[in-house]
Amino acid sequence: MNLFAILRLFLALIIITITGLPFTLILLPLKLKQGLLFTGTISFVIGVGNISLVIMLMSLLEFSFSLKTILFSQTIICLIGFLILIYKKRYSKLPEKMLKNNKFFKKKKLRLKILNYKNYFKAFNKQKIFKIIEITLIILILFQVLASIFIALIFPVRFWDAITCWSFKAKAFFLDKAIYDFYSKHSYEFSHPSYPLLLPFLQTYLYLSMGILNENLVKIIFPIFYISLLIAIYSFLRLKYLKIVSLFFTFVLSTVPIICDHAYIEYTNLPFAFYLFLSVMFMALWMKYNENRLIILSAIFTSQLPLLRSEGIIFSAFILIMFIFLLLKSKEYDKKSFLSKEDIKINHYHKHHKYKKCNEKANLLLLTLVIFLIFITPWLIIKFKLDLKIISIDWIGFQNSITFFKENFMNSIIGLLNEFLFSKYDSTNSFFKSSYSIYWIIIIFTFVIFPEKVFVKENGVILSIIIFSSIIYLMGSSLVPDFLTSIERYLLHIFPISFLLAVSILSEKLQPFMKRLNKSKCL
Amino acid sequence: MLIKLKTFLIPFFLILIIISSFNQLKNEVSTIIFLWKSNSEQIRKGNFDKTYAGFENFDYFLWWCDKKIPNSKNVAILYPRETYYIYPRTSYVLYPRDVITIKTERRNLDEIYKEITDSSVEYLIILKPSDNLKKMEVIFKNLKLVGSYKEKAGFIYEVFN
Repeated sequence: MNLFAILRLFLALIIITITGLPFTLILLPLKLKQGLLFTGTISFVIGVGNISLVIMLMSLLEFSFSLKTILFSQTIICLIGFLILIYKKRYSKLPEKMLKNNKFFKKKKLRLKILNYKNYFKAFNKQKIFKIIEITLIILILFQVLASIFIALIFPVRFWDAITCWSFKAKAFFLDKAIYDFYSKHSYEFSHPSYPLLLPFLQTYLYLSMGILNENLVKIIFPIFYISLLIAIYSFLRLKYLKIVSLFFTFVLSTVPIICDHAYIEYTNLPFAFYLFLSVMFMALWMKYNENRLIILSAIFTSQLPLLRSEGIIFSAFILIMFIFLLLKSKEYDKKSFLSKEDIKINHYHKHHKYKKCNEKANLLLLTLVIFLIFITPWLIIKFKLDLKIISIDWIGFQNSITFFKENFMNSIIGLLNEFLFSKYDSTNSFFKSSYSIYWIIIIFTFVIFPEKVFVKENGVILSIIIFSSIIYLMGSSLVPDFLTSIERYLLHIFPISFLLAVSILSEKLQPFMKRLNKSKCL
Repeated sequence: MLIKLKTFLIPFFLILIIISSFNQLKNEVSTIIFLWKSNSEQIRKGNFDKTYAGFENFDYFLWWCDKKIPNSKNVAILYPRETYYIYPRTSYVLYPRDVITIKTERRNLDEIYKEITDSSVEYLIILKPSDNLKKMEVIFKNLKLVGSYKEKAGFIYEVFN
């Protein structure tokens, strides 16, 4: 293995994270920002969006792909981000005190608490069982992460859809130094030319960074998305629950067979699930705490969905409509405990000085639409320039729709139930059979036996997405029966949010018990 | 009754979750051991790109083609009927060459030859020649055998105009 290529790949990943960092620092509320791993994760995901945007713009301007041009553009985006950050801090007269009080900036706190073993040894006598369990869970999660990296890197790109739909394009873009040759000089219909290009662009960037076509190393992005999902789940659970409870359910998610499979099989389903998860979670938090920065974050992740998978445009449209509906319904600011004092100060300042006379709702809607347009418009123009079809060739089977629909609707429902109960379908033929194990059954049972906890206003956004995507995939597989054979991959998109909702309820029940145990003298 | 059921179900779910998680851990350990054993030689040598060679090691043939056919030349691959796997894999490995397919089943040699000349390809790949494709270079003077991967399979021809 080429050590120089590994080093360059590592640097490329750091650069992605750095380009997303200023936007994360601007948009993430302090309470979430204090988690260094979570800040890094969000920066990485935003950085991926930046990379794809830069390569799309280069394609539109018909620039030849080169690492120098990409890095130059990334530097500009990064500088713009940091300038906005500095401007915002100055403008809002961000008090010195804030920096001093903010744990994130305290050197002492920068150390990862997870790895701070001193604490564990100090507390060993006091709460030793809890600490041992926490360390064990961390070790098990680390094992999962290392296992996913090992299985990903040991093979070059090998899975069918991965090659035809995504990695083939990345290889072509890297060799041609442009996207047009692949579409104009060849007619590879099997490669689904109309499919979106975020993942191929990310792979192209990594190939360009490494300077060689190393299929093994480029696959590192899939374990990274897996790790990012685990960090995000942990961070959202940690907002409300004990560390031990959050770690336990993070470990559980890391062992769901289909998630483990998608950590190395080079498909877009796991990244799509992760982006959808972030988009929905930030929107849910925005709805709960009425903090504008959260909906901007949600808009950034929502606008990446159409760039990841074709159905992303439907999801984005639905989320946008839901946002407009919620925005029109929302009341004036009612800050709750989620935001730190510093966050409230900044917003208070903005509210009373800058936006006093402005219609904040209209501004927010406009800003959200601008974010959507920034990311989606270049892709739509590229599609138009390349004369790509709106829908992929998969939909050719979509004829005599009503007849198809009537005939297949029942089959789809039965297929969906079979997937929930027995993980019937495995379209990838990967090592762990793309199984959901018993998790859908537990999730559905939790929803049924705790309806008073699930069907509440604050879960409205999450439930809407779960119901919407179930309907979309049910209808899709009724119209094009072939879709049913891949239903396990489509259900993966809503699995993380469904999982989080279910385990939040279980955690709520578990937490008091754990607290009692924690205080108990027998420990 | 419902409260009792709920009280019972939560620990039950947790036990199921723990069993399922550890079962997956066990599967992963055995998978990793299996992968390590079956690929240890390639891993030790650092040949990670050789740990997978396509369905039934088809890539070994394609890597051989990749060496034999110049980058800028277009290629046609002849095979009896549409296959789900061969064409995309060939196109992927041989990129940036443009790869097209020519079906040979239920067609006579003249029809096949006409399609070859019409498509302006410069190289031909014939995986396993059936009766009518044997010794093509003898029948058509503008085909020259570049090499064969095996004695009776995997032929590359150069096409002269």
